[in-house]
Amino acid sequence: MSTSVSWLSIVLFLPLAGAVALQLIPGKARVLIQGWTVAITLATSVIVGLLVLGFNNAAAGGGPLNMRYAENHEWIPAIGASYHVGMDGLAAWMLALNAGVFLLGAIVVSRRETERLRLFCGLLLVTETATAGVILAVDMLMFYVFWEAMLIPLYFLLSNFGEKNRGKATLKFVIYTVAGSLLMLVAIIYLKVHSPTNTFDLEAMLQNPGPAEGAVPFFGGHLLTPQQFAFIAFAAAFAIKLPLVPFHTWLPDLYESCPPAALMFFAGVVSKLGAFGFIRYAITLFPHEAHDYQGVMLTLAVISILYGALMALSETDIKRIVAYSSISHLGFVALGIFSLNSAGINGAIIQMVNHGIIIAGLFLVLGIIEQRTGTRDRHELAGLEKRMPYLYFFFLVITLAGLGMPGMNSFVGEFTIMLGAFQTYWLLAVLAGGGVILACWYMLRLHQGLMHEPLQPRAEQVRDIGVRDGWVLLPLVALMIGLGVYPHPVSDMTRTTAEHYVTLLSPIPVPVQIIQGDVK
Amino acid sequence: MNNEHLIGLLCSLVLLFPLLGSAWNGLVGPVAGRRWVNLVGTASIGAAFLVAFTLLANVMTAPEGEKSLTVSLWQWLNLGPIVNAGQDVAINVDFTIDPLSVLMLMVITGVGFLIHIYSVGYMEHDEDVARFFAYMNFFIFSMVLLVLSADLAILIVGWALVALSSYLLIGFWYQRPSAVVASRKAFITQVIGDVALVLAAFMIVTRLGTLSMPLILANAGEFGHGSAYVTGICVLLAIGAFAKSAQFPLHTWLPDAMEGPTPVSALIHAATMVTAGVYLIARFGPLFGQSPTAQAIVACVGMGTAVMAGIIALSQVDIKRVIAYSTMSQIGLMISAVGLGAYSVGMFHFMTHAIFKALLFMAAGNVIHSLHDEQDIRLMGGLHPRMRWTALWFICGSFALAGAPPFAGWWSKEAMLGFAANAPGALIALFFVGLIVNVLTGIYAFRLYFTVFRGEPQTAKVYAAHEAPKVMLIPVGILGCGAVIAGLIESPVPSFIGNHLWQGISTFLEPVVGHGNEPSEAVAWMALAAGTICSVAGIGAAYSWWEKNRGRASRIAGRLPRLMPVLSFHKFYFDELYDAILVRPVTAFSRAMRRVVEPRGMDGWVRGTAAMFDDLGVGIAERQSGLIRDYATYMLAFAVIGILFVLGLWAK
Repeated sequence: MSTSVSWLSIVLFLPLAGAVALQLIPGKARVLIQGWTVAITLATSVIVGLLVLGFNNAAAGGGPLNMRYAENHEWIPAIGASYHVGMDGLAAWMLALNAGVFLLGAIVVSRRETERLRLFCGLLLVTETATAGVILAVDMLMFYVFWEAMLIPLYFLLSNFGEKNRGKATLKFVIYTVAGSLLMLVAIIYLKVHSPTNTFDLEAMLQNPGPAEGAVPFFGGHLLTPQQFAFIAFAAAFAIKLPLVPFHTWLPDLYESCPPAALMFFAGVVSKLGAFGFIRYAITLFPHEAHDYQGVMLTLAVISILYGALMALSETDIKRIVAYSSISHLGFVALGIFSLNSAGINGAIIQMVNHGIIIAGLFLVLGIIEQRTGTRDRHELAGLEKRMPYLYFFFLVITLAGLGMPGMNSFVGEFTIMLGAFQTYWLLAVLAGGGVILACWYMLRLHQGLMHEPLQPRAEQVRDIGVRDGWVLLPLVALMIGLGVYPHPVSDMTRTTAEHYVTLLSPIPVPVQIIQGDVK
Repeated sequence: MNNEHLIGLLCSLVLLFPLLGSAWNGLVGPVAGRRWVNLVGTASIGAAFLVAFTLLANVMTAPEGEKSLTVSLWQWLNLGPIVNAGQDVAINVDFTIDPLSVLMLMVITGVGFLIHIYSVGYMEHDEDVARFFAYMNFFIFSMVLLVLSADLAILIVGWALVALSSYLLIGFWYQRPSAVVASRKAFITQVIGDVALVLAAFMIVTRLGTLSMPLILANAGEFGHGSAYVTGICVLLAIGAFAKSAQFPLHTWLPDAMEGPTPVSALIHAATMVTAGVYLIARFGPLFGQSPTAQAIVACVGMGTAVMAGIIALSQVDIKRVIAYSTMSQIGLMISAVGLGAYSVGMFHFMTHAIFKALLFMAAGNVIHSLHDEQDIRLMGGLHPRMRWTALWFICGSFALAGAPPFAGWWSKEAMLGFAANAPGALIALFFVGLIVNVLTGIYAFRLYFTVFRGEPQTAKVYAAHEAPKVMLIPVGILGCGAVIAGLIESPVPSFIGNHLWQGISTFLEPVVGHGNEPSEAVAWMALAAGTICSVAGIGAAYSWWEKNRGRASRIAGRLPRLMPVLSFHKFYFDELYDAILVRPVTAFSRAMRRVVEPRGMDGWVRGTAAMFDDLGVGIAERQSGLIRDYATYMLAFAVIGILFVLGLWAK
């Protein structure tokens, strides 16, 4: 694919343009609205697919991140902000996941009897632009703008289309994440001011890191160094978004009240952006601090794995079970990232994509069950296999993928992550193994609880899924099996990226600029 | 086409036939009708058996020193550089064809084929026969993958997929709550074993930089003989094997697994899957050879399980559970044998056991079938005249199980005892425990036979019992003949050809597993004699207690200390124990977390922070009282603070 066309900008702004054009369609023309949304997301997916396929042949940028398809223009030269987008192996897979999940979201929403369909579809497209911007941005101010912009359509989606308790859940989510990202903004400004090039450009910053400063004196003692403060600020923003325990309480409430169609891309992509941020920003900009706080982050990751799993074990609302399982799985991703070796980071990248596929499938299945039976309480559902054999099959495969069955996609990710963790400290892999056993327990409890045992009276009249649901579920299930049986092509690309990030991480001696006396 | 390509093709075929059969039955089967399902379900395994036979011929005719061949299909994953290894670790989908894997393959597809035929009759009245055959074929596929794979990661995939098939088949009748619980229990126990294997793989790969099994075994000495590291690896591998083979302390799932249809019990929970642990230890023999500690642990756990399961089997009243505990006991013997380094003998017993145990399960299945799902042996009795063929084959199986000469089990069991008698140091105790197991086996095997087939019918159902249809009898008959003669393969009889006491299997497997610590002829004959006497004594005891003089058994049990029969009947309370120390605490902890920690602790600090800002706002608002004297106080206070601050800066 030639680089003379600004493909990444097209990917970035096509959904936004689609959302604007959507407003010209009369609100009553439901079929047209649905068709247009699907067409836009499909076109984006096709372009992204071609970009990912052509990734290895595209000219490498040569910067520290080796960006392909990079575009760099001035944006606000007065403050050193630029419009700089690019794609590396990490961004490629995230973007592919992003495009795929929004396409599925667009297809699924068109089936549901949503009021104000045009608003929903418009917000969906705007969200896609925002998340794509987060993934593609190489300029930190641009990254920050998209990071915050993501909240706006999500806020309106939740407050307009959410289920009960949406008000409280949305407020909690927005304030929580804004608190984290404001801290990050302060850190971004600090980095920019101290960088020799005085720009927000990530690659420039990585090439010429600012001088490391000594610890801030404070009434005779020493506080953290500014770099450490900045790392903590970034880490807080990403830990909230991921989320890591104990910053997770917004997630179950939010997933519970989130409309099912929005949940697809919410759970599929938005929560992965925290992990993306950790890899792209937190560990590359702060290699020393990443090593300093490795122990803390790994502890939080392991706590997330076990805590999420234990919570999922006793929860009765099926959506909340999946929400807690998601916390546990994202703990695995964090564990891989902060193993700070190539196996761990590679596994984390693979698992981010895998988890996006699995959680989208899970929420799709649970959405179908809730829609057809009218309940989400585990105790009121049983024996659905009798009435829904086809759904049972899809649900079985998704469940197995969710519990990390060898031969399925998530095993590839979890195996690699655990290998990375094992190399850092063997006990981490053992504890993560405990998480795998618990995952098996709660996933089977969920699956068997819904599907097996005698049929409940309220499910007597339930119909099995139709052809349309099957066509939505089939590609997801095919990916789960396909990426498990033959992960080599994907993992080869992510591995190169992971090894690249590890080289950025290797501790480079940085001269310490001493201010106000010797602090060492 | 050279030999390597041919072997690669055959490996793919032996995997593909069952896999395609499974896919066809699962997707098309429900609409294609019962006849097609039966045909595809059995023919796919039959075809796999033929391919396995070709592979066997290929290995038999291969020249010395070239018996083992590894073929590579595709690269599965590249793990990148490992810290200590300094090279990229690639995981390939590799398959090994050697005497060990071919022997496993023959048993899996051969016995599997007969059980599939039997299933056609057994599942005749079940609506879901397509789903049944889809799962069964998938099991054969997974099991073949397990034994063929030459890479530890791929072996783990097969290892987990057989657990999955087992889960699906135990829970086949998903509307029975007990089956659902049993399937989940089996699966979770298996996952514990999977995790142990994964950790063992990590320990290996971080030292050797490879997961390819031929390379691991060739470099087994790298870890250092007797080092803690290699013992750690071996113990983890053994935990995986214990979970799969239902050995103490991970054994409680196997009896519950009898909730599945009887052909499933015969195929998965007797003949093939549960013996995968034996295969694993035999396969990693060179590694275990580096760690005498791990070998001793394996040998003792195996023998301990054998005794424990033998004692439990004495008092169980469910026909399938008695056989399940006997399986656990026999696998304990095999595990003990491979723990002592007697790999070929362990594999020999695996083979004979697969034959006679599948036979016993299928014969029991005939009984259950004709009594309309009655499984309580106290309600049977007097079936012999009504089911003559089944009774005949059942007694053949019982003799083989008990180890009466010259049935199949006799040869393999007494050979294992010979190795135990030759064990070093205190491990010689295993020989004497093994003799006790022989007695126990004789008793429980014939208790079952006499209670079920002899005596008077205990219920009206028995009077209406009838012989099973031919499709179920013929596979049982074939296995019955096997139970009589299969032991000859390793007997002194063919020693006219070679001049050696032990033949057949051990010569065939020798290139892979070596000889082990072989007993001298004198020790072997001594063990043979002692073992035979014990077995026959057990059979005789059962005859006198349950046949000749009914009711004597309960009188003897009454004279024992009260605790012994109670412990036996309640399976040593392991289910209750695990429930009390694992399941209940974890669920209670999880509930407590959901009720207390999550709302008060985790969400508490979030809401607390919000409330704090709320209070702060209210507090500041209240200070704005409108009174001049308040404002003057604030001004003064802040002025003082400001001046002090400036002075502080200036002083520096």
